[in-house]
Amino acid sequence: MKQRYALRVNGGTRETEAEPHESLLDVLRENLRLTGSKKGCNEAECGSCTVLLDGRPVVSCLVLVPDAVDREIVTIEALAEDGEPHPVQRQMVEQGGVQCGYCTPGMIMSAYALLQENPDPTDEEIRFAISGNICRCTGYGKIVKAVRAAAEEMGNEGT
Amino acid sequence: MRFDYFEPTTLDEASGLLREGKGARKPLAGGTDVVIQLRRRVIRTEGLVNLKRIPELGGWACVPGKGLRLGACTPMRDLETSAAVEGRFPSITEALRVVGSLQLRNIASVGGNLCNASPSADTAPPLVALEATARVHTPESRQETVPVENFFTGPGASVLGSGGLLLSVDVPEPAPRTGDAFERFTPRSAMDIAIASAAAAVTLDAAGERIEAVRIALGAVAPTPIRALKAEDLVRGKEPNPKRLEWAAAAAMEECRPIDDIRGTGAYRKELIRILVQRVLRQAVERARANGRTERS
Repeated sequence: MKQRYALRVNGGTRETEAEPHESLLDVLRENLRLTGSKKGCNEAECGSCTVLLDGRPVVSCLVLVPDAVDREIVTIEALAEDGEPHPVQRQMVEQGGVQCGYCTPGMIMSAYALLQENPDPTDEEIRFAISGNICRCTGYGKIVKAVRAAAEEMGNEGT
Repeated sequence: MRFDYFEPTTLDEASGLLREGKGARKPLAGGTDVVIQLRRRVIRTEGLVNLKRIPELGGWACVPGKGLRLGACTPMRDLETSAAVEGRFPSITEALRVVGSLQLRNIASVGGNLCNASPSADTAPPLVALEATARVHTPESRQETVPVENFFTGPGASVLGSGGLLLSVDVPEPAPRTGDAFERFTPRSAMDIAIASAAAAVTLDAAGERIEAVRIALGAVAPTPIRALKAEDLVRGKEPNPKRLEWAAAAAMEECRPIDDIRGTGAYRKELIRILVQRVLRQAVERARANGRTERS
């Protein structure tokens, strides 16, 4: 039976109706039309559905919607400010970290979560942080480079 | 995939909901196994009973002198990032770090990893090696303490049956001069399931020369995680020289009963155990020596 849920998404509260067994990913995409988060495997293997839940990256395909209530949800749609892409987004483009683009939103969310916690990560730490995001195009090298460049860019902004 | 969804806030309420379900309802913690199994229709359920709003099942503490106590619903990542846990029980951290992905470990619980009772569950070998115990709420609402070693009864099955609940896991404070280690083998370095795994906890004697106490646990090579008792007997009371560790590993190899499956043949798994057991023993001994040095200084 459908129930009403109020979800705190990207700084606002969104009301929606869903079955309790629906995933946060489906509700974000189908009900709230936030289609930036991608549905790849639907089994936590690919990471393309990564969003932040209370600041921590999670695979939204395995979060049942009732478990997202009363928690702060951040999706890829919230990263740009006033139409300006976030440094991680910009550097993914600059460094050639995007090819087909399917993994990109999830990859960016994992990288964004890493940089919130650790503003100056090593390559190894970057690789660990994105190890749950599968990319079949780039070979990861340019993605790692993009995250490092974003970290540098953000570091410079802060000084 | 349709079912009722319950959010009890007390243990009695949860236990009652499961009892009323007569086996047709399932407890839900992180959901990273249960939700996938429901979607694949490997399991069916009439209702999920979410346990994450029950205070007794959350929270954890790693306090010097008191070991580690963790509520069953504790997300894996909470423990994985704890310097206190890594400093005192590195095998637990080593096991947590390789489960699924970081985004999964932010959801998945340690208790769920045990209750799912996969023979390859990564958290099981270190907990068995470290003599952890599980606090269990039986379907009859009695509370019992079960060694994690005896928690598993077969692939996907545990002492909980269909109505029991795992409340918490206790890892006792290690004796002085103790070290532990975990290692597993997977072809890929991330997002993979162990073909075989091993953990060891070793306590050295006061001189730091002989192994006084030892526990070796193996994963993915039997219907449940198992102890390698014969291997333990071969090193207990002995000096941990390379030859000795090699003999122990050869014994461990004969103690496992692995199956052939898509990840590897039984024969391959046995070979892996021979290597993994030597590595974890060596590493555990090294850490025991290092811990002995810090205790003396």
